[in-house]
Amino acid sequence: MLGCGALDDSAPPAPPRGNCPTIDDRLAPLVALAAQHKTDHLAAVIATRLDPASQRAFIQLIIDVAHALPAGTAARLPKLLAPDRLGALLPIVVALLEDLPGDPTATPPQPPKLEELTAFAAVAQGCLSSDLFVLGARIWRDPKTATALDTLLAAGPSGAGQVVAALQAGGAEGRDGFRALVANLATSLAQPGFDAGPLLALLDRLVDPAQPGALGALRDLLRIAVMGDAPADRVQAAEALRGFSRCLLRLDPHQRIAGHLYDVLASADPATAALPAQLHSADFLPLLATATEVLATRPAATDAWNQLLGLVLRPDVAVEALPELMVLLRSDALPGAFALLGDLVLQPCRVQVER
Amino acid sequence: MRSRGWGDVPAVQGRSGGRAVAETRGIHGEQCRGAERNEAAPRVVEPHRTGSASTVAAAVAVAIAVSGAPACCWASVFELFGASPRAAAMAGSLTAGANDGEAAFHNPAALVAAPLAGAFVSGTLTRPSLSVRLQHPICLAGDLACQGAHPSGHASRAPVVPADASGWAVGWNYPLGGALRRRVAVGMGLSLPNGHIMRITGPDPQAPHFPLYEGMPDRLAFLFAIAGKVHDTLWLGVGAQVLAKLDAAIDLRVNPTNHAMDRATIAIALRPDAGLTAGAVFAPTRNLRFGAAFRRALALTYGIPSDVYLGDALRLAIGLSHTALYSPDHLGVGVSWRPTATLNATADLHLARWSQAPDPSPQVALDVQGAAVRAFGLQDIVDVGTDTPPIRLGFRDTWSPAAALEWRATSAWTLRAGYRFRPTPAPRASGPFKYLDSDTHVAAAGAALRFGSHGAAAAERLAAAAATPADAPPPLHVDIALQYHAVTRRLALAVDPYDPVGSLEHSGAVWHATIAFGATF
Repeated sequence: MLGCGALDDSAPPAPPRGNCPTIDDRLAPLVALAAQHKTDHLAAVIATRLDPASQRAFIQLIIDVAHALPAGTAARLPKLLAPDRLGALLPIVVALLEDLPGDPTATPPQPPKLEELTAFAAVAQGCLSSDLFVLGARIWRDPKTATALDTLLAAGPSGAGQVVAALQAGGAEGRDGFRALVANLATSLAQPGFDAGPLLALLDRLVDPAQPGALGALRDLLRIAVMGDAPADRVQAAEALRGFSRCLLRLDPHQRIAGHLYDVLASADPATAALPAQLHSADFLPLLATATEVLATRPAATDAWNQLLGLVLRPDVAVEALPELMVLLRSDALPGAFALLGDLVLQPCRVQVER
Repeated sequence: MRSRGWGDVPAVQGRSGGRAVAETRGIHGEQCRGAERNEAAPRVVEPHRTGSASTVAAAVAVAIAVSGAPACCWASVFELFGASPRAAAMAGSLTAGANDGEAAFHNPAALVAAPLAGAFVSGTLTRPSLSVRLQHPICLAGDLACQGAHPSGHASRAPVVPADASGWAVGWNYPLGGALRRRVAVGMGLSLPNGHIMRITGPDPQAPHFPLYEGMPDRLAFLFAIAGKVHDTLWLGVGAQVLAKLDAAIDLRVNPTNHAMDRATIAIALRPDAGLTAGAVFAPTRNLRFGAAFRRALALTYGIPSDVYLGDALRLAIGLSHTALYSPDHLGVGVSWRPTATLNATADLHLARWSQAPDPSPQVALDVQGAAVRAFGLQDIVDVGTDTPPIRLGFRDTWSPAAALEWRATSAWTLRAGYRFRPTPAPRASGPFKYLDSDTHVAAAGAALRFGSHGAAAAERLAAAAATPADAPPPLHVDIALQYHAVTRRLALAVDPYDPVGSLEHSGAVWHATIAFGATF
């Protein structure tokens, strides 16, 4: 047919596009939780209980951490958050917190551990000083930390059993013995001129040189913490631990936290815990170190972090917010969010258009 | 207060090779005038009002707004330097003495003073040489890096100084004929920036900058007016100064994981806005005139709300609004006296209502919404600027006196000179927002060369108007003018020790030159 127009032309083909899950797809588990009102209390804590200055400081903390991360970290973030890396810490967090708010639906109903929660909240708000964050950052930066942490995390519940058994062999019988041990240790640390040598020697005796296991890893971590690489590290560590110990003894005089820690360690069930055999903490430790360094250098961020922790652990808040946090940590919401982050950063669905 | 010496402080100047900044410190000009008094910049905020709208000049406004050049900041070329080379040479002292196209701006009623029609085209060149001296060195890296490099403090904002600029202006006046002959005249004035079609900028209010001079050649000025003689001794005029309003809305549905835009809708509307101008002249004798003129406040406002839909889980509402090109309400009174046939003396007093000036900084609001945000109670926490009220400038109304002389030295040459004092409306920049200005002395001079002879028709009109030779110069003319603005030194000590810029000192000069070619007919 003769003609100069486009009457008989077909429309040009649509440009190719990817087929990745959308943001709504990725965040569906989180949105479903919200729709079921399973995040209401968490939302209320953040929106209404946290004071505006702390809200701003917390947002600023996230921005500062993102800004301080080394170049290329964003592209590696999804991998770093995987279950065999930073994600491996989530079950530990769950184990530490899940019994605290109680469970009224259980048979028999489990009451909240109000005294423990009170102690946790007080210590979180009052004892996490910038000195302690400086010490934490140095530990995360130490090249030997990754090996010790990998060993400790990979040991999982059996490692916890090994630690408890070793302490009992060392004379700390049962729960009360463990609390007494922690009290004595904190009292010693709180004294000026505390020497970590005898403590490390004691651990050396408890560790089987042939199979150091979790206890050996714990000893190594303690050595990294209190000895460091330079005399200044030891001074700083002693100062930080002294301040924390004094604060701990003042705010938790009955060692409620130690008792709870014992309960968690003693009840660790190798059959239900599922930590990967091989962890790669060296990959995510720089991330932790950066975050801790930002916390150490920003007083407002430190205050906001401590306030948020203290608020979430406060008994009247925790009984409602902690169960929601546990549900959130066990759900697919966080993996979905991490996967979305991966989609956005790694751009697997970007279609290369030929020009 | 900081006591560190200023020996190594950085100075930012308007152009390379500008004159050195004097080292003398101190607070100058403490007389009560404008906002130069010893007052700190305000820190509280309050709502502001905007200029009025009119539909009188709708078609003209749209045409000019589309093809013209509204831009940044405050005050037009006309307001700062005058609407013609004659006005520039007489430091703007023309409320009673205007007599051709320049009258559309300086006093619409004076349009009927000219017995002949006239037009001119002028070119302008403005060369600011303004400088800012900071107490601290400038560091634009991150806070941590800057704190490490400059432990005694740093300025996290660099001063913005105005650049050289040029533009064009047109003036036109036309006395009507027929039954309205010698009774009614119309006129217009237009100032066009040079070098770009449109430029609107919104400087960071915390960066030290000179809002009256920045982008001033980008400020379109367009006025038209009509005037009539109520009586031979009483003339009235009315007109409009035209700008535009820009409204836009953007609706995007983005699929970022697939790098796709599912939907994009953009709507832009440009609406005219005009401010009233009016004037009156009382001429009891041929040699004496009293004038009064008023220009309504005017500004260009625009708002661009954007909805970025990423999904039900997450969406962003981004709002951008800005009020630029603000001119305050202006009232001027003046007198023009001709003691001899060759000498004209004028004096003016101008009130500018700067106290009504709105926040000139861009308003940006980011509202994060969606189920994923609400799940953690973050819907209000991560928002930015949604509850930020506009900045309260704390500007003061100013009274500005001016005086000028115009002398017809020969039949061909006319010489002019003028002086104006412009008190600053801006408070000392001691607060977080650094709008810099200070009292300014304006000295001006110029000359006009007239030549040629009128045709028969023009000569007839002149005779009918009983015009004197002073009223009817030769038809062709070349006018030149030069203005020097001596911007006095001003020291601003930062009130807040965490001020992002710190204490500063600013001063400088602005040169303005213009040349016009015109004719009467």
